Amino acid sequence: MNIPSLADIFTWLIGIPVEYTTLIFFLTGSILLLAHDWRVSVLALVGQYLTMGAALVYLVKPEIAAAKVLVGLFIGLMLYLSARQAGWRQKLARSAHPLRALMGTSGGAAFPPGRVFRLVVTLLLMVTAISLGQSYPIGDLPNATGIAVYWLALVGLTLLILSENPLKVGQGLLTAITGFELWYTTLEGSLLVVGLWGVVNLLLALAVGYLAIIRGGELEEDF
Amino acid sequence: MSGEFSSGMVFAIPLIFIPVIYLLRRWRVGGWLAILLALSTAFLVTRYAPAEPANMFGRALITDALWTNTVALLFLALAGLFTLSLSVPQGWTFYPVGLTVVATVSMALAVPHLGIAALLVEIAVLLTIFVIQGGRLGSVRAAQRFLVMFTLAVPLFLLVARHLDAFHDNFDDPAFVAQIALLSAGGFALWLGIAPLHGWLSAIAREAQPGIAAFAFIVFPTAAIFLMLRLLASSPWLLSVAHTRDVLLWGGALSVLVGGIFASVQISFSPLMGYAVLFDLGTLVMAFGLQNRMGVAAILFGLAGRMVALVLLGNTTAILNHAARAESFAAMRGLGRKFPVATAGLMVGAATLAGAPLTAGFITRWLTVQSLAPLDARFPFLLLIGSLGVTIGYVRGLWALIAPPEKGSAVTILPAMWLNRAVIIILGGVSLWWGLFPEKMLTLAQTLARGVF
Repeated sequence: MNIPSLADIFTWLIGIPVEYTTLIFFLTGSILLLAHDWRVSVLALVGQYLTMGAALVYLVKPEIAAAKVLVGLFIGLMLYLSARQAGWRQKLARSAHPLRALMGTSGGAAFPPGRVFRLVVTLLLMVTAISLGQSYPIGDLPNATGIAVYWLALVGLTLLILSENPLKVGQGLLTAITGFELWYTTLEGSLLVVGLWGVVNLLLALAVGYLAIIRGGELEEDF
Repeated sequence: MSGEFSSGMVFAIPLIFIPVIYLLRRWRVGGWLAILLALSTAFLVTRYAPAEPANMFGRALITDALWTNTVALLFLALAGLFTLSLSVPQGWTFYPVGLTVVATVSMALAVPHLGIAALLVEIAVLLTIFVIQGGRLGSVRAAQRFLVMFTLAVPLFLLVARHLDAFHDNFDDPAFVAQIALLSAGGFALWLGIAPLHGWLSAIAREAQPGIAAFAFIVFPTAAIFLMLRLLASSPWLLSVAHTRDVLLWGGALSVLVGGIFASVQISFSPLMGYAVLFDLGTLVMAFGLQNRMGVAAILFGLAGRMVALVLLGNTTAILNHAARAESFAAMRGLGRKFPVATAGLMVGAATLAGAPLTAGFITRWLTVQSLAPLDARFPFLLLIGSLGVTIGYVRGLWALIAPPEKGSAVTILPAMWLNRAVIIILGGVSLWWGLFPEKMLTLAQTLARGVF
């Protein structure tokens, strides 16, 4: 089986209509709001960065879109490793038997019982994003991308409000920033700003990972 | 010496030595080297103030007298906090991270582009997260709030910078100007922790080591106020936006009131410092609302005074907390008799932040009140309430410190206390000197203010 090159991936990404990228953003954002399991939410965040790359190839140079995707993949990797380390510490701390702690005993349901509230919030946010995108289009962005910008910003801010654990808060910040980036990248031509923004994103993921490890337990939220 | 070389040194020298300090951070020599580096950078900044603008990243840096004085004070304050870390460790990474953060912020303050400056400050914020948490397990509330507030402000600044860069012709359009004013106000309110966005101030004061809290309260509000001054200097039409003055005055007044009231009811020195800082920042924002050169002079004098006060408070609070092995006033009964210099330093620092007469803080308050009174008679009254609140908080602490000690209470012995005593005496003296003989500092502040308004 041949491993696809970066150019292959981008050729494939360019083939995705911009409306579909917005739908994928709706999906990843909903998962971030609803998922209980950190693995699912980190995967959704990575999916969000890939989708951002797909949306940006229509708007900016493909190299810049590729750089954003690469930064996103690194962020996903950092959060995954941090959460994994924090999760292991939590399990070791809670269990008297280290082997049982490492193997895990919980059912690991991806969607917790309190999800109805979040589901309603998610639907409301979707309606709000669509309505904002249609009422207040953002600059020269395609309408679907404008809706995605509003959606990501709303999801990010909602995660900041609803969550306490650093991993979720970090995902909220990164999501809100992704929404802003989707717009701002089309405005800013300075490579210095784009580069510094990438550094900020990576350091942000590092800081979030550090706080997640420090906080230790409760990577899965009770809601 | 060329401007490029001298301003580049400010960023380059700490960055060159930071790996060495990082390797030596667990030994006392690392601390001494960090102090030496901070002091020598402060000296070099003032000694080799560049005459010509330097370039970095292809952009001309603004390294004028305002920048020179601010950066020198930041490095001096850092050296003062490093001396604390020699006797009461504030986390091993404080030396290398502190230097990196101040060097990065210095770079940010020299960059004329608000967006790049905001991104550099954000990088400094992200590095500071590690020293705020300091490896402490459990609650991450302080670091998290700090991270969220500062990060959310960055997009606002990037948009302001973008608008300023791209739409030079639209400044006659009131709606467009109002949009820029709104975005800037939101960004600076988040960075300054103006009430009700002060969550990061109180959380850091409560959870971080006192020295680290003082560090964060010095570096980031200073950066925010500096960039605010720069923005207003380059875009004075922002002040013409309707209600700008009211927003600044009442936003500041709210912080003054909240800071003062909450300070008066605290039961330990750490959170008390957070609310005292909120009060102090409120007064500086009110001074912005004056929209004149006197207001800017008050702000610049206030920036210097608050650095002295915060290094004093950080040092003395850490020493007392460490000696008592607890933070509450109740646990500190009688400590004032065993640590008279620290107690005196704490009171001078508190009095400076509260704006008490005979201290450096009084000059800022007096200049502000003089200009505020004709605008609205309620503002001086609100400032007085806030100031009284901070004073009451610290007097309650002092009451516990000078009370007779409980029998059998043990006190932790601290190493290198002579250095802390020396720093406390010098800084206390500086605050009193500036309060009693403010002419020279005030003249400097007024000269620098001319470059802004």
